Amino acid sequence: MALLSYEAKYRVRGGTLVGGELFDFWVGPFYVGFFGVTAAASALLGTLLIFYGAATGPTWQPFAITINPPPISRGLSFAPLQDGGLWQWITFFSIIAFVSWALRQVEIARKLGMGLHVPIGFSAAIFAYVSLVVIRPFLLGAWGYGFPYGIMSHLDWVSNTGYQYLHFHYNPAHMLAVTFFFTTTFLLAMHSGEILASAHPPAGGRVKSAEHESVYFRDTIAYSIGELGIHRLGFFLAINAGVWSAICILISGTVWTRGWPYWWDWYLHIPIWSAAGFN
Amino acid sequence: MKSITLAAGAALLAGAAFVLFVPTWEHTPRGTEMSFPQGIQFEPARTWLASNKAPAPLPPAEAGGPMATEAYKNVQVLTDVSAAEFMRTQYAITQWVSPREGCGFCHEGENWASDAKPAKAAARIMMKMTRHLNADWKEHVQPSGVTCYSCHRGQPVPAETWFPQAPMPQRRYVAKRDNWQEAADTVRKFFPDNGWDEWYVGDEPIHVQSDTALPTHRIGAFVVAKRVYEMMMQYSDGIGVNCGYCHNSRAFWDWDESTPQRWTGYNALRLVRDLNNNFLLDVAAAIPQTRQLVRETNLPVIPAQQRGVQQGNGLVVCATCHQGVPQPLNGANMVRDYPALTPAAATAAAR
Repeated sequence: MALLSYEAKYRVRGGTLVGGELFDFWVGPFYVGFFGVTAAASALLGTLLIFYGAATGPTWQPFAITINPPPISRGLSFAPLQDGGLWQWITFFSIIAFVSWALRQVEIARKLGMGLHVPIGFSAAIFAYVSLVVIRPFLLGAWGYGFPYGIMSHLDWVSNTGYQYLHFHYNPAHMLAVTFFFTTTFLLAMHSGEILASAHPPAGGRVKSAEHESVYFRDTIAYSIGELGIHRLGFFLAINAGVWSAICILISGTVWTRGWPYWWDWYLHIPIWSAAGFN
Repeated sequence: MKSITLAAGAALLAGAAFVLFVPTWEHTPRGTEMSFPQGIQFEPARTWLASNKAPAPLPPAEAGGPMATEAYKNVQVLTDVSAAEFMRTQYAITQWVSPREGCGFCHEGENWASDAKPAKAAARIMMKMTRHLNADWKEHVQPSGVTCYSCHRGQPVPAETWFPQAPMPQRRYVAKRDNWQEAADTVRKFFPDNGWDEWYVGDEPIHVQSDTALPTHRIGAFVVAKRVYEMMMQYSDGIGVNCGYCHNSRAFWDWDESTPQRWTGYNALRLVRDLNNNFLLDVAAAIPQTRQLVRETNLPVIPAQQRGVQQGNGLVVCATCHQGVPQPLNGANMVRDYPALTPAAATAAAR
C-alpha cells in the first residue's frame, strides 16, 4: 500500500508503553506495537473459540449460533468448556483485545503528542461491556447474569432482561443514557451538516471558515460554542452515553430488584402531597 | 468563572445527594442466594395483605361413626364424609374464613339446619367450588390442592378480590377508580382493571401481537392490546414473576420460544373463567351486597368504592389464591389433612 503524502510525518518513533522498540513498526498503514500484537492474537483466539463453539453446537445458521454463559447455579466458578467455559474464555480474550486496543491508542497518542481523548472515549465503551459481563455478574454472584454471544440470543437477552424489571425505560440511568445517545447522534448530525455546508458551497461560492460558522450561530441562536467547544461537547455527550448505559445495568439487580416503574413510587411518597391535603 | 464552577459543583453534589437519599433504594446481599432464576423472577412488587404461611392442621377426626347425612339435617354438599370429619371440616372452615365472626357467620342462631342466612348458600357454592377444583383441576392445583384458606386467609372476603367496576360517572377519568390520582401509593394502582372481564369472565381472543417482522396488517385493536397488557400484568403481579417466566419477550406469541410455565398459565385462565362463571357469579347472586345488608355486621363489608356492577362479592384472579408467589402458600399441602375437600379422598376416608 502506497504511503499517503502526509503519512511519513505521522510515523514517529517511540512513545511505546511496553516493549520498547521491539514492536515499534508498521505493517502497511497499520501501527503494530506490543498491544497491537496482543489485540490481534486475543481477537483471533476469541473468534476461533466462537467458531469452535459453533462447530460443536447444534447449528451453523448464523443468526441462531450462540455461546451461552454458564448457568446461574454455577455461581462464580470456572465452568466446563461446553457449559459456559467457552463463554468465560471468549469474555477473557475479548477484554484483553479491547483493552489492548485502547492501550495501542495511548501509544499512538503519545507518538503524536496528542491528549488521551481517543483511548478515554473508547474506555467508556469497554467499561459498558465489562459492566455487563464481569462487574454485574460479579455483584450478583453468578457468571450466568452475563449476556450470551449470538446475534439473536443477545437481542433476546436484552429484551428479557429489560422485561425482568418490567419496563426498563423507567430506569433513571437508562433514561439518561438514552438521552445522551440520542443527543450525541443528533449533535453529530447537525455538526456534520454545518461542516458540509461550510466546506462545500454551491458552485462559484466561497468555502467558509470557522469564524463564519460562529457568526452564523451568534446571529441565529445568540451563542456559538466555538470550534474547540463543539468537539468537547460531543466528547462529553458520547462518553456519558456509554457511562450511563453501564450504570443503568449495574444498578439493576444490585440496588433495585423490582420493576423499575415501582422505583418511582418515591415520588408518590414524598411528604408534599399529604402536606398539600392529598391522600 | 470561579463562582460558576462552584455553583455547578454545588448543584451536582445536591443532585447526587437527592438521587442517593430521596428515592428508596434496596440493598441486596451479594451471592447466589439472592439470585432470581435466569430471566424469571424479581422481588415481590408490593406488600401483600396476607402472609404465605399455612396454619397447622386440626387433629384428625376419629375414624368410623355415622355419616354426616345421618347425624345432621340439611347436609347438601359434604354428603360423603363421616359426622366427625364433617364437624372437623366445619371448625377448620370457621378458622379459615370467619375466625372473628364464628359459626354465626353462616348459621342462624342455634338452628344449624336453617338456611336463613344468605352466607350459608354462598358457603355451599364455595365448598362445591373447592371440591370441583381438587377433583377436576388437578393439573393446575396438584399436589398442594386447594382449601378455603388458599384464598380467604382468615378473612370473609379474600384480600385480593377483583370487583368489576360500575360504569364511571361522566367527567371522571376513564376507567380509573375514584380518587386514584390522590390515593395511589404505587404506580401499580394507576393500572385500570375494567378490561379484565373480557378474559377472566369472557372468552375473547388474546392474540394481539404481530407475528411478522414488519406490521402487514392489524392483528388486534389497540385498546384490546392495552387491556391484554393490563390483564397480563395481573398475572405477573399476582404470581410474583415477570414476563420472562413464561414468554420470550421478543416473541410473546410464539409457543416454540415459551417456557412450560406458559401452558400452566394458559390453563389457569380457563380455570379462572370456570370459577368466575360457574361459582363466583352465583355467590354474588346469593349475597346481594347492598348498602342495607352491610349494616348487618356478620356479612362481609365491601368498601363502597370497591363495590362493583354485580353488587356482590368479587371475582377471582390469579392473585386471589397466589398472593404474589408462584405456588400459593409456597406450595404447602393443606388439602391432604382435610379429605372432605376432595370428593375421591372423602369417599375413601368414609369407607
